[in-house]
Amino acid sequence: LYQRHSKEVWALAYARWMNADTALDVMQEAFLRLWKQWEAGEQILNPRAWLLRVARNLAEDHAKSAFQRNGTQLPQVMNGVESRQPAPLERMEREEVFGQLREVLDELSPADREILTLRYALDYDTDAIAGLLSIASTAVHMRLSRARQRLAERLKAKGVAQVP
Amino acid sequence: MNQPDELDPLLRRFFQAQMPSPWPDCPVPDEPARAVVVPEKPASSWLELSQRFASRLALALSLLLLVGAAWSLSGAFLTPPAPTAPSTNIARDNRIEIVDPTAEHKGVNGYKVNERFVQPKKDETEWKFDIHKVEPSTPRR
Repeated sequence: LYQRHSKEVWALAYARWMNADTALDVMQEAFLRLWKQWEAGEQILNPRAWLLRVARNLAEDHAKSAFQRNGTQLPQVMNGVESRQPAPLERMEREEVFGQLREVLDELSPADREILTLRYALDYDTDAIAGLLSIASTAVHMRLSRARQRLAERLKAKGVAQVP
Repeated sequence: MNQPDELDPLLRRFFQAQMPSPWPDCPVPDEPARAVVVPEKPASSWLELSQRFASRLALALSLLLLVGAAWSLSGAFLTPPAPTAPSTNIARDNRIEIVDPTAEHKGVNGYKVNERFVQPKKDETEWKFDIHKVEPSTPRR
């Protein structure tokens, strides 16, 4: 169950706040709650739907508590890919592009970010996204297309170049 | 890079770079799983046995009482006996005589009528009537 659905849960939490660590915390908390429910004898007929719902709620609660603490949204983190070990200059350029991309993604709606995360982080096709979000494949296709269009326009406006 | 399709490689690299690597293991609850301890059964004493079977004994007694009560009460509501079936007699002359004791008519003017069927083995059924004069009963002293 964890291997099948943990990345989906992480992706939904990540799409909400664009923070990988927070998404990881939310994902783990959702699974812990699921184990506890099962330990308590609770019957959960669709664990996947249950996990996704709990992850969304946890992400919302986390955002509210973070806002109350800090008076602002979560600080953005510049993430790099450690495993590929790029050269320092190359890495800096890429991180700059990623930072601009993150800013543009933040301006999109959470629904757009969900679809983009599922499409590009998990490599889900239209049908898989439709099944996960319980919407029609045509709606996924349309939302994905519009989200990419908006993203391209905003990146162009920022003058973002191709990633090295 | 301005076309949406050209974004695909960038988006794929960006999102996949965000995913934790290696992927963490499944979280485990802090509290260890509570083992279910089954207490050992002590040897059964006579008291425990009697307690265990007390309810069964009470049930058996109540059922017995119910059946007994139903049996004793059934005598109070007996239906009158069904009329006896006509008896048959095989006479010496190889005839079957059907005597219906209920087929007795009081008749009129002090005569009593008994009717009966006689079935010879070969001939047709005979329907016979015996008419007796009834003697008036004398009052007892």
